[in-house]
Amino acid sequence: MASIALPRSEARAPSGVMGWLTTVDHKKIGILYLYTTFFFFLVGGVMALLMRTQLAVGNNHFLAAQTYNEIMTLHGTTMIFLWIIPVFSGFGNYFVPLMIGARDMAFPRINAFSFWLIPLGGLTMYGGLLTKTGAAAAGWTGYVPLTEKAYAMGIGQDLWILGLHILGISSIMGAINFLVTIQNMRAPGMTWFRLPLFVWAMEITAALVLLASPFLAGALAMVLMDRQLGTHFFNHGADPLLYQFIFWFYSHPAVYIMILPAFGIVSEVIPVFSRKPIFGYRAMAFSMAAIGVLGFMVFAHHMFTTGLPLALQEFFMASTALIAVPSGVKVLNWLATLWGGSIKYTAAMLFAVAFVLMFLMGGVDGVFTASLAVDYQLHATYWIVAHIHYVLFGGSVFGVFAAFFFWFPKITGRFLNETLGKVQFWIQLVGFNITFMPMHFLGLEGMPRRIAIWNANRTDWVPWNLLATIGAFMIATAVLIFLINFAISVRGGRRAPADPWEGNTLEWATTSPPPAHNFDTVPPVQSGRPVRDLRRGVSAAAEHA
Amino acid sequence: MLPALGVAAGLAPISAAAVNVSPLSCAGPNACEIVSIYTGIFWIAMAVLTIVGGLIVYAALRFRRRDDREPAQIHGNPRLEIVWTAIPVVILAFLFIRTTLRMDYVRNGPSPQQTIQVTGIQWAWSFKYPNGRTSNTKLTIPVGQVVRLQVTSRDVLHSFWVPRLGGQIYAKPGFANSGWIEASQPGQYFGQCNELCGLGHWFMILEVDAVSAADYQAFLSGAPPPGAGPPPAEKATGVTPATNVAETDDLKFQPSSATVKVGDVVQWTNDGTAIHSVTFDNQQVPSLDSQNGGEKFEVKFLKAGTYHYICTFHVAAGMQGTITVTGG
Repeated sequence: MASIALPRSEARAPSGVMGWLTTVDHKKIGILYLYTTFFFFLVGGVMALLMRTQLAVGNNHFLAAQTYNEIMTLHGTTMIFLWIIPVFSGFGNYFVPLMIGARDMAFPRINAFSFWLIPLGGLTMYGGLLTKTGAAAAGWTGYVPLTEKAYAMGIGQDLWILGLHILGISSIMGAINFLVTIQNMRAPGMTWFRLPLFVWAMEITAALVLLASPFLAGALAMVLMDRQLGTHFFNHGADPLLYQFIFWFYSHPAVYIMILPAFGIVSEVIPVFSRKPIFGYRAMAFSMAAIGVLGFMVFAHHMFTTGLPLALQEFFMASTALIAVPSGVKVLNWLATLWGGSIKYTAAMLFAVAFVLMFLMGGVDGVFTASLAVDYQLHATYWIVAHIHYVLFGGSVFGVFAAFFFWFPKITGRFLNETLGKVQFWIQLVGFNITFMPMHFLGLEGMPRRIAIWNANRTDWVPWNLLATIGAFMIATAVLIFLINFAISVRGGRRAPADPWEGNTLEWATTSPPPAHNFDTVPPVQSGRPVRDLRRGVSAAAEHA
Repeated sequence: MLPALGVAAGLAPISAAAVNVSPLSCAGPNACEIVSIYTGIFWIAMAVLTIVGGLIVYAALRFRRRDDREPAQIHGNPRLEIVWTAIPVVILAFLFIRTTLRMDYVRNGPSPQQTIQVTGIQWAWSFKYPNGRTSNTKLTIPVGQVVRLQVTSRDVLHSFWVPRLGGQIYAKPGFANSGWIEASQPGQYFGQCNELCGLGHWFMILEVDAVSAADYQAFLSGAPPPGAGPPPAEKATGVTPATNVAETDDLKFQPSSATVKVGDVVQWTNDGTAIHSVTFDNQQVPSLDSQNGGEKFEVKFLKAGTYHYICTFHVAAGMQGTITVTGG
């Protein structure tokens, strides 16, 4: 297949600040996503530090209970809706078109609109902090009836709902954009089974967002109408579980929206630094698809203690056990990719390998709570806090850092400092485990989550809470090192060539950073590793025959 | 505006001694059944973590780059992949069956000897016993008996949880969920609400006192403990009160301290819509476990002294008061 020359069209783009404000270029929008979401990560992180300071010791009055509840709510909402979900949209924006050999996203203006809704949504939600009655304080789950007017009188709860609505619109438009782009704009030769696994991950993630997000929007709209228009969807005798069913029908798939792109990133990073193809490519793609489908069938495992009929609970226990199978397949395939490889430990690779280990831990502790009886004791305790952070921090956020180190040279044309990166990695890995491993023990010792003040007479909670707080400040130190690394490297880092890591996928076939039109000529795609084929100057057809 | 918190003294209802609330330190058949299921999963999980985690660490260390040669390009191995898809299926099927077989026992239990109504109310637990007696925060049960709990809520969601006796039971407004607990040994077992229920959630504590059958009967009948002198106060009705204390929706007793003479009657009136209680530290003074808007409650004081009382629902918000009785 011959390569295709694409037209150049960067002639009339404005420069400077106006250039950033008006850009419809997928790479600039991707960079805007990354800056914005990282800012929110820092905000959510400061909230986490405030919470850990409050919880370091028992009977502590560092924060008032109301303030704690607001910060706890905003921490969860920020990290999920303003950091993890959109940061992957950022990487997706930048790299999906490059990886499939396209000029841009399918709908560049919608793309810009999706992005600008994110700061708007975030600031709307935070607006509650400026009101006299404070921000939303009912947790990121926003369960009724606690979010009904009778129990949450302030406008903070309304602003929280509106903020989430805005973010939901952003996600849905972004998802449509990814789906259309991946469906229609792949380079010649880029068949479905030659797609990079990161693109597969973004495709499945976008499908989940498109199918699930409207349910969250619906649930929140009903709460908002109850609050402002006097409807009775969830009050005056309505079963409050109705909200939970709709909420989790979105929010369980959302867990996969938050982890699948990280699966994709790790599936790109590990093969490159092991110098091997991903083990079981099709199994990796199919297991992500299986997780996507099964992800819609496990939602009621968040509601095992709510008194659902036993038969229903057992169905959801079975489906939850089932979804552990494709997750296990992925871990073992990453292991098999490492096996027999020639592994080079860059900072990106360290984060990727740690991802696999931390995700394994998060998967195994999830199996405990899949068991109904055990969940009756561990539901809504610190065990769950440990579990979600092993998956979403040890998993997703470690994946994000792998991506930062892996793709920074492509985005900026310069390397991040590897030594600082490795120092950051070890502090972050140790700090993460010191923070969240003890939370398993706190759960087993009966500590409920979401309590603003814990009673100091629970003496066996004392060491674990203190350790968790120390670990949280270690994580903060690691993030600070990353910021310093970024500040140094973005202008003064070592120059990066087009293909600094011996990459496999098409983004490495263009310059670092890529020109506005991405490729002068899109290289031929004859296998899942077109850039390796280019390097070797051989026809991939021979090897894959 | 929400009332300011910060009444450290409000932690009084729970003793200062070290308290164990670990579900693993089970103290009854329901909780212990769950521990046995947990333990099975624990050993399997440890084996999986050790083997798979160990292999990852081994591979990560063993296959470091030593030279510039490209390793063998292995794209997969369908047979191996089928094997490691099948192994988790078998393990998880075992866990599923292990749990399912015991769920009827854990959830429904043996037939109950007592049924007690439990109501979660922002921010305290209220209990109603078979003979109509009520109590707040502290639930008294007979040791060695299966106690069925019918749990509901008056406002938002709560979750009843005494980890050493059994799993969580959700309290939903307008609906009742049932569960059961049994304590094998007499003693005090602690817990707290486990579903975020607003400002005072952290303070919505629970205590289960497991006592002998005889003591339980005595508790139900409301008899004073043996050896107690004449009570310092008694319930009064239809008497003109010397002082009135109002309970307000901004969670205060107005006035919060009052002085009366021996023989005077104090009347509490709920002026708002929120539920309150008048609960004295001195258990020989009659208390009222729940008082709705508009309702009145009167106590006649017979002995000089200072009597501290709280609203069990709002003590975290500082709702407390004292009556000083002089003369006599």
